Amino acid sequence: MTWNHHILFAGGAALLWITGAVLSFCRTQKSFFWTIVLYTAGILVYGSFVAGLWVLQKRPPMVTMGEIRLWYTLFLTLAGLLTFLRWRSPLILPLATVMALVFSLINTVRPQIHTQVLAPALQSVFFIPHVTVYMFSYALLACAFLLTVVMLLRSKTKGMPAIDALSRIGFSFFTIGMLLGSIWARQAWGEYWAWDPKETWAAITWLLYVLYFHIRKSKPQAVKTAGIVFIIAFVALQICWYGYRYLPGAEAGLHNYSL
Amino acid sequence: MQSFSGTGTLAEWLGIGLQNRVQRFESAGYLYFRMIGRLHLFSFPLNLIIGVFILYAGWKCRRLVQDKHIVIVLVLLLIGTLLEGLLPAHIHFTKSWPFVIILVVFLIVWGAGLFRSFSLLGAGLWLALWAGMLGTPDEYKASITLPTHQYVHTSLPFDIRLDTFTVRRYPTGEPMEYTAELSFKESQSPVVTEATLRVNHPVRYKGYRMYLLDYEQTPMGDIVSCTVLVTRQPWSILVLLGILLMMGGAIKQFIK
Repeated sequence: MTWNHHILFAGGAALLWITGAVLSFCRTQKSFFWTIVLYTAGILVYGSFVAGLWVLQKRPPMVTMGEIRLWYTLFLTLAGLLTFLRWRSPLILPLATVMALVFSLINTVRPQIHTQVLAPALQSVFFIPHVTVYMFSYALLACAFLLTVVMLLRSKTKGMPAIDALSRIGFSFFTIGMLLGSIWARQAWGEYWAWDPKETWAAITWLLYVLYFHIRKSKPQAVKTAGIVFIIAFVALQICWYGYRYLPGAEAGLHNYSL
Repeated sequence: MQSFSGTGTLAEWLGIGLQNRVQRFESAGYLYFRMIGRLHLFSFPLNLIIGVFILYAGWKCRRLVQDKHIVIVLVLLLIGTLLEGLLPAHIHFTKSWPFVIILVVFLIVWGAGLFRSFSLLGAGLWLALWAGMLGTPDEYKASITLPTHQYVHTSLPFDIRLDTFTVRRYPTGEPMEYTAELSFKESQSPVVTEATLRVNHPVRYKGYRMYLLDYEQTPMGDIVSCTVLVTRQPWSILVLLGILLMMGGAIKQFIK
C-alpha cells in the first residue's frame, strides 16, 4: 500500500460517505439503518488505507502533514457518525462529509509524500497518543464548530446539547493531547513548556476554549457571544494545527519534523 | 556518510527540533538577561515568599471576585500569549516583565476564583503556572560540549566524559538512533558512574538531567564531540503535579 492507492480508497470511501449522508435526510427507520451501515463502511475503507500505510511503511503514518490529514479525515467522519448516532443531529453527516472530502481531496492533489523514516526525536511512547488524541479532539471540535455555525445562522438553540457535549469531550481530549505533549517535551527537550510557536498557539486555543466554557457556565443565555468565541477558538485551532507555519517567527519551531 | 560533512554542521536530524533548540538557547539567554534582568535576585527564598503572597492575595479576594474578573484575566492572558504568537520570534513576550505581571494578576484572580468554586482543571493550571513562573530563577541550564575520551570540568559538582558516540542508521541512510556513552566522576573521588544517553531518554545524575543536543563529526565520519544540555529544575515536580491535576480534570470532564 502506497500513496498511489490513496485515490482508490478515498474515492470508495467518499462514495459511501456521500450516499450515507444523503440517506440521513430521509427520516425513516430503514434509511437510518443504511446510513449507519454505509457511513461505517466508508470509515472502514479509509481506515484500512491508513492501517496499510502503517504496516508497509513500518512506522506510524503520523509524521508528514499529508499523513496527519489522513487521521483528521478518519476521526472527523467517526466523530460525525457518533454525533449522528447519539443526538440524531440532522446536517452533521453532510457537513462532516464535505469537510472530510475537502481534506482527502487536498491529500490527493498534494499528498506531500516523503519516503520518511521515524527520526530519533519521534521515537517515544508519547508519540502515538499525543498525535491521535489531538486529531480526535480536532475532529470533535470541528463537528461542534459546524453545528455552532448552523446555530448562529439559523438563530435557533436546538443544537446546543450536541454542541455542549461535543465541545466538552473535544476540549478534554485537546487538554490531554496538550499535556501529554508537555510531559514528552520535558523528556525530549528538557522543559515542560518552551513557547515554541505550536505550543504558543495551543495555549491561545486552549485559553479561548476555557473562555467559551466560562461564558457558557456563567451566562447560559448568552448563546450568541459564546458561539462567536467558539468560532474564534476554532480559527485559532487551525492556526495551531498548520497555520502557524505561515506566521513570522515560526521557522525556528521545534515541531518541524515534516520538512 | 558523505553528505554530512564535518565540523560545525549541525548534523541532520538530531531532531530538527533539537537543533533549533540550540539556537533558541543562545537568543533566549540573551533576551532573558536583557528583559528580565537580575533574575537571580528572585531565587529561593524570595520566589517562595512571593508565591505565598500570591496565594494569600487570592484567599483575601475570594469574596470579591466575580465572573467578569475571571473573563478579564483570561483575556489578559490571551493577549499575552497572542503577543508571543504574533510578534517576531526574537521578541519573546512571554519572557518579559509585562507578561510576568499578567501572570501574577492572573494567578491572584484565578486563585480567588478557585477558593470560591474549586475545579481540578483550574487548580492544576494554577499550580503549573505558579510553579513554572516562580521556579525559573532557581533553574540551572547549560549546554556543554564533550570531546571524546576526556573529562570535562565545569561548574557542576562532577566531571563528565564522552566515551563513545554511535549513530545507527536506516538502510536509507537516515539516522535511526544516537547513543552517547557517558561517564561521571566527582572531582576528588575515584568512583566512576556510567550511563547511556539517547534522544528522548535523558540521563539523571545527582539531581541534574542531561539531554542529547548535538554531535560533531569529521568529514571522514569520526565523532569529534557531542553536546549535552544539563538542567536542574528544583520546582519541576510541582509543575508535573499541576499537569497531572489538569489531566485528572480533563478526564473527569470527559467522563461526566
